[in-house]
Amino acid sequence: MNCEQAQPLLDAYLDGELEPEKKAQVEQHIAGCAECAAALARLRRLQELFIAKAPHYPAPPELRNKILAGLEAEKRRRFMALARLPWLCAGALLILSICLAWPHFFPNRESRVAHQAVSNYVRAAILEHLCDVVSPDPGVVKPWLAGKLDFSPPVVLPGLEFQMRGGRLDVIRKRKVAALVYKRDKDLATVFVWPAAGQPLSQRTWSLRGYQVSAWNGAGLNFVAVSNMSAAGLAELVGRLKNEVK
Amino acid sequence: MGDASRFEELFLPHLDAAYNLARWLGSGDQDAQDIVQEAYTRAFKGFAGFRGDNPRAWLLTIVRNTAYTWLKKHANHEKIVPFDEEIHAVPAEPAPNDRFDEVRRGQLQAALNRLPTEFREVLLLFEFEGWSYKAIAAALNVPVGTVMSRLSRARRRLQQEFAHVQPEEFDDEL
Repeated sequence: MNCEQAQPLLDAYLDGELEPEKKAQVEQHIAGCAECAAALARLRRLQELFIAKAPHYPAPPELRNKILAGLEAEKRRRFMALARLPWLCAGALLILSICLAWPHFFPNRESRVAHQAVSNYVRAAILEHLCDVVSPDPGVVKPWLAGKLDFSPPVVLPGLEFQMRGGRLDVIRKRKVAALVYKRDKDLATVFVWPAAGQPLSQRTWSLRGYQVSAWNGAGLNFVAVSNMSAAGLAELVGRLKNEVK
Repeated sequence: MGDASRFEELFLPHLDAAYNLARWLGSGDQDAQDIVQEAYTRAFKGFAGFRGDNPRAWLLTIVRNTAYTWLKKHANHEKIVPFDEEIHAVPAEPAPNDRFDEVRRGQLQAALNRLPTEFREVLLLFEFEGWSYKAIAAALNVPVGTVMSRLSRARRRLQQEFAHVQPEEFDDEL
């Protein structure tokens, strides 16, 4: 190893950062080279001077307290974040409950119609006054209703095991409507019909107070069927009525 | 929250080292205090991720990174105070030995002040903190060769400074 190779390695040699092989080579060179040995000695003296005299800045006493205060603040922030969590959950729950309960307290027009249809259905059953005109024949029921109403309701036979019991007048949303009563075995279904008049019902079903309700719109008329049948049973009746009234 | 007391136990003993590093990286007292405080907050936030067995090195790395961000942000505010701003007060009637000491101290401080921050940094971490080249390289995210050359160039610069300041006394000495 010559001076040119040794000199860049002097720092690492001094710092004990050379691999054993390189270290041995540098050592060997220094042993025979006064110039490099002197350079190394100068480096060593500089290092000693540096370690002895380089400035050291002790932390001001108040810094410790500032840091402790900062940590306290950070801890508090964490705690507050943690403490807020239950309230956030409670708030979210409350909002969710309100959203879910909203339609119950403030039902929209359609569900108000459905509720009233169920009330009518129940009242008629309790009063045992299902029909003003009792007949299985649409040819009797239809003219009778048409004579009492400002429109002519479609009175159709759904067929199969559904039988017509008759019809009556009823009121939904302060409007006179036709109520057609059908029967299957012991189950009763009442279909309320009135002109949509710009307020058509959208197709929907409900399950209210144990009754199945189905609403739809067709031929410019609104229909709401209420029954104590199963949902499938009512759906079948509704499907047949829709087929007949086009 | 038992974490918090463990954190203080592990890291508060290194407050001096943290503050010293911040000063060496070129900040004045106020900035250094702010930097160290921010570094402790950062360390506390990241404490959950601390797995090492060397809290001092971990803390100093955070101080260093915080300091660079801080100094960059405040560079245009002329907040960087000269490194040698605070020089130990010279006793009124210094003994000749003390006097010589003070001169040396002042000269070294002035010379260090003229070094680039990167040079001062490796000097401090190697000579005072006793980190290996490899450890410094890892903390600074540079190759080991860069650490070696920075250290070596820093020493050459210091030697030149001293030769320049007081040729008759240091020329052959350093």
